[in-house]
Amino acid sequence: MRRRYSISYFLSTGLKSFKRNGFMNTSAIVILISAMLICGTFSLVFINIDHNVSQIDDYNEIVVYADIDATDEELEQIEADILAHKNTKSVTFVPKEEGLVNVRESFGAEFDPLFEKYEEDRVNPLPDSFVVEFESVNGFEELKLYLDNEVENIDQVSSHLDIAKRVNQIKNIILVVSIVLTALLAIVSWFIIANTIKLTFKYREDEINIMKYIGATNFFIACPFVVESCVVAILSSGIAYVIQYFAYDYVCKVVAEQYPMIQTVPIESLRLILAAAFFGATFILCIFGTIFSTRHYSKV
Amino acid sequence: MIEFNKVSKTYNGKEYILKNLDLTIRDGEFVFIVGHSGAGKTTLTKLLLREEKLSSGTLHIGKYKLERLRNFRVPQFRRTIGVVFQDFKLLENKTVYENVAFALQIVGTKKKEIDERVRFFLDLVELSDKADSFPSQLSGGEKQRACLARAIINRPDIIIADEPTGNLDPVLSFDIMNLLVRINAVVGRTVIVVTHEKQLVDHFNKRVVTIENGEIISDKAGGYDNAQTI
Repeated sequence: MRRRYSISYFLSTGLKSFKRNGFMNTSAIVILISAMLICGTFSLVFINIDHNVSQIDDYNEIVVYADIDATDEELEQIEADILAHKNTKSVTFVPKEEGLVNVRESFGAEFDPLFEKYEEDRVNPLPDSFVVEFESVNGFEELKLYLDNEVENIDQVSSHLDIAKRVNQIKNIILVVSIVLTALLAIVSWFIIANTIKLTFKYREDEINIMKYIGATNFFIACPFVVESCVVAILSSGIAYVIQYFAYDYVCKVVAEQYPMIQTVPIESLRLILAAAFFGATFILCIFGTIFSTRHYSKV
Repeated sequence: MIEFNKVSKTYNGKEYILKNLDLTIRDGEFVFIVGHSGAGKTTLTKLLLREEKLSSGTLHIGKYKLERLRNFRVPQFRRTIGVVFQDFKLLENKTVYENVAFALQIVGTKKKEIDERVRFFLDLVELSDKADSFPSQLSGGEKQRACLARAIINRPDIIIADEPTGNLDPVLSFDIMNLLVRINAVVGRTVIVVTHEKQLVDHFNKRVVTIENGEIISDKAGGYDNAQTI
């Protein structure tokens, strides 16, 4: 009959060892927390930039400003020309009066006196415009060229996609930096964990040798070390998660108050991914770190 | 049955520690392996425990063919052998009871069975009253008896005692040897004692295998001198 190893033995030995190597394990936990917070922060910044860029992408629209003195016939012709392009999905005419109201609303109440002056003088500096919704982002450049060069009586063609492209560049830089930092911190964490386990092995070398003489398998010998690593992983990922959760939530509130135009992804929709990433990453690091450092001692 | 067949061990391909060893030890035998320091006794013990691999030849111990034993099967093999060390190798942070029980824990024995067997074997080696003592609180003889209890608790087929009396005074040495002889006689286990203590070998009048410069120079029953001179 195949006998089962005692789970309580593995747990108690692993926990005792964790306590005995308090200093090294604390170092490993601190490094892991730092690594996760740095990687987590970069990832959250990346996710938020991506979210805001997506918002811009979602508009999928171009604003076409007609010449300020364009006549009604010319405006009708502009609309017809825009609709004639294959990538045009819809065109909405925005009269200059409506445009001024929109701008006034976007500036807020404190700029009202400025707009009142425009109303008194009955002067509107804005031209009539068309909001053009297009079918495909890929055909955006072609549509813009068509509007710039082939449609007459147009003053300016404006699009959020230009901004989106610039933000995308920043997003890519952040992505590269966070990947490099994550990799570096993962390597540092790996070595610290591996060294902690190696020191523990050294400390228990006699015990391990005796265990081998009396027929202990490598599995039996390594299990308490895996338990010790798991404790390090649980503590470090748990602490890092709590810090990241509350820090991010606080930053989101500050951003919402001071920069309302920036949309942040609420922590509620990220907490599961964050928890899975933190726990998963530390467990992988700790368990592979243990296997890596126990290889040498696995020789018979 | 232990069968050495043309067993050699060399570390660099030139210098032989053991050379063309032929030796058969039958089940239930009691054998002394003797020889001077550097004769090859320790290497022979290491081969028996599969701590070292043979350079050539074959070594069969029971159903295990050591010349081609895979690493993952070594723990299984070692459970068929009980080892008594010169320096006891008891875990200082465990009590006598825990040290002996440890050999059963690693093979996944149930707690109740561990308790029964540990109590029985501690009684056998007359250490019941020291069950809760730590190794640092024991005399040399008591430490060796604890080591012996740990070696036999798994009911191994073979017991190898590597200089078991090296750290003991003559009276305690005889006590330990008597215990080994008793285990061999009563339980019928094969016992191999590696030693260079002439008095003990002479006293017990068992089979004596003498090694010198990595070769067996005699294999006879009788005392140390008797074996060496033949």
